[in-house]
Amino acid sequence: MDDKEIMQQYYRSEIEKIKTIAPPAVVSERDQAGFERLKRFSLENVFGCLVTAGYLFTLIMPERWFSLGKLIFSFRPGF
Amino acid sequence: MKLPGRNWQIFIQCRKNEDSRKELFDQIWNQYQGRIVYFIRNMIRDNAEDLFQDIMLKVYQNLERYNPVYSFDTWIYTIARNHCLNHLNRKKISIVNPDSENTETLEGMDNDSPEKIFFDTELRQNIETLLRRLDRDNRQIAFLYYYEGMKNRNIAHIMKIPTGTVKSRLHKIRALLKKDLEKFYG
Repeated sequence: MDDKEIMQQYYRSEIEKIKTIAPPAVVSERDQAGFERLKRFSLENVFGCLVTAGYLFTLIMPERWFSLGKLIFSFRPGF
Repeated sequence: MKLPGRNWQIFIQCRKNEDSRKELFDQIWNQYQGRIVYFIRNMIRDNAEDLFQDIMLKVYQNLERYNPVYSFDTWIYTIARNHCLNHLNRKKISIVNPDSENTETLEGMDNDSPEKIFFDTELRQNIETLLRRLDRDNRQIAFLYYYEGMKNRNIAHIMKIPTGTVKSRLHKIRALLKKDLEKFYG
């Protein structure tokens, strides 16, 4: 036996002594543990962005651009 | 099913679908658990199992970022070492005390298998005395070299030190081993 074999045998016996635990088996368990993949975007975020963009557009849109603009402005109090 | 031996198989399997990815993750968990926990214990005495779970969470979240050009062993040990170093910096906890660690190891010995009987001898005590004399980095280098059979450049990548430094440290470790264990060589 050389140094490599001796050390390998030593490490193997040490690793065997370590108590192993099972991986989170059930998907829901893994989700709770935070193992679900991080979502890069969600439908809620997309919808939120659209509504915000629409609102900002109504604020900056000149009245004369579209008849829709006139319609929207006609509902504003004071006009 | 056996863990794909080739790095590219891991690379492809984690991209197939969610089931395939989870199956791969379970295989990685089972295959690396003992090795990573032992690797962590070379650095940090307590919470090795908790740290292992944190490391596996990182592995799971970053599987798609794995570059198959590099060895998977190197990738996972790099994550493990970086996580342990961050943990040490964050908590400012004491670094493993090899004396107490090894006392625990000796007490926990089980003499059932022939392999364990073999190491419940003077040889085991010699190895443990030797490992006590090494600092934590050198203990990890010895583990990666002797147990994982890694090449110097991969060890250098994990330890973030030059390849030449790994070589010189291994030379020192081997010299110590030769001095202490020569009488056991067959």
